[in-house]
Amino acid sequence: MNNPLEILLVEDNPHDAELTIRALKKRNLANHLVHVQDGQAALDFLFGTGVHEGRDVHRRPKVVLLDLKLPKVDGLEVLRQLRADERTKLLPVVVLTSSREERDIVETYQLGANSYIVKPVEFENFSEAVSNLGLYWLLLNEPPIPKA
Amino acid sequence: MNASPISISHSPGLAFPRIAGGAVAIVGGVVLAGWALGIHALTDPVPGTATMKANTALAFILCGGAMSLLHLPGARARRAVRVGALAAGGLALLTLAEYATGWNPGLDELLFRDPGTVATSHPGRMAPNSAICFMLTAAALWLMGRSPGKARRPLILGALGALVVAIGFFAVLGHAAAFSAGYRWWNLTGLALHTAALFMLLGAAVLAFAWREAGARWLIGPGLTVGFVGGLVLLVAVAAYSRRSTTELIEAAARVKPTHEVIGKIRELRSDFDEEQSGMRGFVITGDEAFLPLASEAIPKVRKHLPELRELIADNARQQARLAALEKAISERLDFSQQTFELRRTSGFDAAARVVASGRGKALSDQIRTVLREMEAAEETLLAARRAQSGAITERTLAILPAGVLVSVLLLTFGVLRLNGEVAARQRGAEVLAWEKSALELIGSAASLHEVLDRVMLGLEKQSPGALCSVLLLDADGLHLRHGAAPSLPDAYNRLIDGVAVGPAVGSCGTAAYADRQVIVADIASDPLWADYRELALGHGLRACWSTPIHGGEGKILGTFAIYYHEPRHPTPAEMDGIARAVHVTRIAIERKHAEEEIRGLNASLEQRVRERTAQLEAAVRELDAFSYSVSHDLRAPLRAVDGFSRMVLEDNAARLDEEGRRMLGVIRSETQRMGRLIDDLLAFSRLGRQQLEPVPMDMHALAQEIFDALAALEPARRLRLDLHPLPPARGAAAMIRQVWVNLIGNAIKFTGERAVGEIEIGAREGADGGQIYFVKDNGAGFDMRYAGQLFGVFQRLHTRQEFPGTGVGLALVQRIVQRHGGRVWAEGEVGRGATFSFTIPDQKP
Repeated sequence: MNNPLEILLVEDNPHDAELTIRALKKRNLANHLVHVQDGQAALDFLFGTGVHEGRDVHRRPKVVLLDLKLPKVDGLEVLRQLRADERTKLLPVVVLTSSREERDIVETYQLGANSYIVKPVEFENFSEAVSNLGLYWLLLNEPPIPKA
Repeated sequence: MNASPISISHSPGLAFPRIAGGAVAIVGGVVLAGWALGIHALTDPVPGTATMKANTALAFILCGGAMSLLHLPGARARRAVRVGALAAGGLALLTLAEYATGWNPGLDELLFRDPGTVATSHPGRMAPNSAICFMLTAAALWLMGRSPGKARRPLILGALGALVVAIGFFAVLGHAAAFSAGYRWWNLTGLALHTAALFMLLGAAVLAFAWREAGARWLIGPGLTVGFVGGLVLLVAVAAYSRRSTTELIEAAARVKPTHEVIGKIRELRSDFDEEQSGMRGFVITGDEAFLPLASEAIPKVRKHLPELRELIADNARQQARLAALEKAISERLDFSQQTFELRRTSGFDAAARVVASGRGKALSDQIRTVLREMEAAEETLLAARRAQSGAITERTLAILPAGVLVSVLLLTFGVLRLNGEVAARQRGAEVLAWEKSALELIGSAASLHEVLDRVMLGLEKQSPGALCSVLLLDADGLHLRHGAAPSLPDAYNRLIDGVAVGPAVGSCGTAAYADRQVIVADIASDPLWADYRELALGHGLRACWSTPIHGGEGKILGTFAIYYHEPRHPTPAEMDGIARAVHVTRIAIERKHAEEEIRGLNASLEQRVRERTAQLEAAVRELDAFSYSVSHDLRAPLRAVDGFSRMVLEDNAARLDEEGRRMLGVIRSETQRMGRLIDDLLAFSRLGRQQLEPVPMDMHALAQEIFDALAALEPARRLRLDLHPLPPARGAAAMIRQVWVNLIGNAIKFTGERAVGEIEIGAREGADGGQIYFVKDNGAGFDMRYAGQLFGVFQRLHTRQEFPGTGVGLALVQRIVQRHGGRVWAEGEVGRGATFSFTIPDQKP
């Protein structure tokens, strides 16, 4: 458990998750990735509750890749709760979604998302988008919170 | 001078002047002929009064002729009118100048020599009043011959015409009443009767013209007019007749006086003669000279009386013959007396007695006395005859005067009463009109039916004192009458009547509504229809009730209109008319207000329906939102998986696939990607309908340039040439307008793909409505105008995908954006020759 946690992927669609992970792997960015399949699981993981009771919540990912349409708790609600909590208020969150709805985009940014990426249908575009954001958030971006 | 025809040439107002003018001219001509032929009956119809002079007849021909030309159109006719007027006026002016200065250039007898028989101060000269009349008439004709214009003209013409008529009438009166000052002024030449009549005709013609031109209307009926004029004429005739009778009486009285004098003189003569006789006889018998003075004094008196008598009876031939005999007898008798006297004095009594005894003296005396008696008797007879004559005149006058005055007073009174009746009817008509107008205004206002009916009823009651008006409205069930309006009936009565059931004997209104006929109850106290309500009505002092059903448009009974009175009454025909009017207005009020209520109800339900529909539509839009949201999310995910995993197969297992397998996977991938684009376009298209328009000013020129540059950059291999004309700015939703340019310029680039040089022209021009038309023109593949209508449909394509790629949504999107901006988009093209796409963006409200 000493491995640094780098990405938390919140994605209910296994194929999308596989494509995302594959794209990140190509850039060797998926080594420290945790994948959860719904919003509740994401919250539990980050706040150390539920099935993740007792997890060291100070081990935070460098970036959360968050789908909007999720079972149980949807992505917007996850975002809202993250931003409401002092511990995760500044955690970088990239919304990765199929929706091009302006409403979603605006709401997402208002809730404090750091990026909004529309998942393209084409694999090339998709994989390029994912790997670019992985590179940016993991390697280029200086995290706002000192590592625990 | 206005040479165009006078517009009034056919107006009936000119018919009378034309006819009168012609008649005057003809009479003038006839009189002139009378002068030429010496026929006095024509020049002098009333002998001994006045003649119509030749100059007067000539002036009548001029004036009458001019007047008969008035109706003719054209400048020449009007010039003739003025020339005639000038000639007649000039003749009259010269005549007046002659009178004023005593100057006589021979004008008066220029045409004919005047015997100057009657009432003529200067032979042949027109009477001064005639001259004045001609000057007035000529002035009027001069004015009438000009184009109408001045508002004062009818007034001036009226004054001139009235003066002429008045002078003529005065002269006619003078002739009729034997009052010479009426036709002969200042003892100069007199105005003849027919002259006066012609002046009245001319003056009346001028008055008719003025009346017509003033636009005045004679509204009094013909019967009344005739009666009124008849009364006036009769009054004038009575006055003229009484004046004539008075003159005759005065003349008769003047003739009676000399007769009295003659009788007196005869009597004096007889008494003086008797005195002379008795004096002489006394002396002869007594010889006493004391008797002598008696006789000698009487003799001169007798001699003096005779010539006086002769003078008095100068106009009586028969009396004069008697007087001659008398004079002879008296002379002989006086001689005989003288002889007897001489004998008595010289020869004594006996000699004298012998002479006396001869009897000659006595015979003479008897003869004298007989003649005197005869003369007296003759005068007495004359006196009686003259008395009888004046008595007859007096009696006739006394009979005719009051009778004439009575008849004319009756005629005028009748006329005034009739006039009053007409004025009253008109006044009433005006009141009814005012009532109807205010009622209709009220009906048109926002007032409720009850307010309208209340005020309409009050208006009716004001017109018919004592009437209490009421309206009952038939219920929707058609069986009960509800209170409508009865502002003057007691509230308690109204409350009890409200809701009364209609039936065969339910007062006036219930019965009227039941039987659908007018029910006139003249006395509630005795009418069987009121048996059940008699106590109630009488208790409130109601005695008569006339009720009329009010029918709606389809003959349906709407209610009843009733008039109550506090005393028993039958309606008069006028009141029946009033009821019909009131029912009509009430019907309009009820129908109108019912219609308004219906419209209000419909409006309310319409609003309710609109609210419901809006809610349904909003729900539908929300559903559509949710739908497109799911489409955007869920439809794309599987596609992404298909594409991604195909790619993974190609990447990971390429070696195990043959060429055909790789090609098939490639097809799967490209079709998947195309479906992704389709979904994206569809979503963009559906989003457009829901997006809010927020128009901002846009620099269209810079925008078009920028988009062309960006799109051209994507096609580095193509040779493209842009011809960009200056574009005016527009207001619109920035992202949308941008999309329009992207799609149109993108299409132009795409469809010029087969040209060596893609030529694209972008510009703007002003449309017919003044708005700007932007266009994008290319030299590309173009299209067949037959299919122009299909260009803008979703997924409509005129080319195969192999020729030109695309989803077929672009132009649908353009159309949707332009239409959302209130504009219009259309295309012109020709296969192989290029296409032009034009659109308008009307000014958007900020």
